[in-house]
Amino acid sequence: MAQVNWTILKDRAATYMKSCESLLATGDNELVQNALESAHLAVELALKSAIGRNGGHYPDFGRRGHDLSELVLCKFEDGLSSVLLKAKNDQNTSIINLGLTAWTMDCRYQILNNRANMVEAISDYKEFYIWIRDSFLS
Amino acid sequence: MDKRQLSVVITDMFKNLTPSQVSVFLKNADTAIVRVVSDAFKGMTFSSRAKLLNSQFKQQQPSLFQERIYIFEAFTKDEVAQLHSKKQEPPSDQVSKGYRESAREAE
Repeated sequence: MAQVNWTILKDRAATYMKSCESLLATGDNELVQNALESAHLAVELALKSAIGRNGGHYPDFGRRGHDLSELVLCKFEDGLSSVLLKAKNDQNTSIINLGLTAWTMDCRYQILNNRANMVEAISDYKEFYIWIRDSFLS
Repeated sequence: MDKRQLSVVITDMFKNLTPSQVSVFLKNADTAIVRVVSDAFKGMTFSSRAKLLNSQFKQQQPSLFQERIYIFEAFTKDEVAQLHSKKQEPPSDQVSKGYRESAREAE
């Protein structure tokens, strides 16, 4: 499957994050889960955009295509760089640790059942998204 | 450092939480999943628990911390027991079940 142009992915990621913020602002508990899912998608598409912009090739099918822990390891065109390498160079692997932890608790264990957990997971996703955007997509 | 050595270091690092279980799974060369089971986490959100473990790790073992990604699984004993049961009952203050759980029930 052809990789989607990185600018399209960047814009879609931004739209998902905007959706997340709008849903959260409603104060409706049912919509908080939608906000969480939007934040997750924002991070996923931002990672794919970062990889694409730098000449890398992200997995675009099956579970691997949605595995954030794989996407951060995807090599860029030079065969060396990756999102993780950038985080290491920035001494900022915490941002990946916390973003992937939120992802694991939500997607693997589906254990973020109350508002407080979801809101904090959204905050962790958002920080991760902003770092990806500012580091690779600006 | 191999998995066994990593497990020993990490277990020692988190002993202040008096955990009932600490386990380390190396997903690949760049990613480790660290599970800590402790009732010290009661009342904390999952994000707060992750930040606690992350911060403690970074402070105590800065070089090791930088080597790879660490995904933190921080559970209380009750939560771990529920993970293994077929169906999890959501807590009483939960938001609506959501489509994923209703989809699961419909299967």
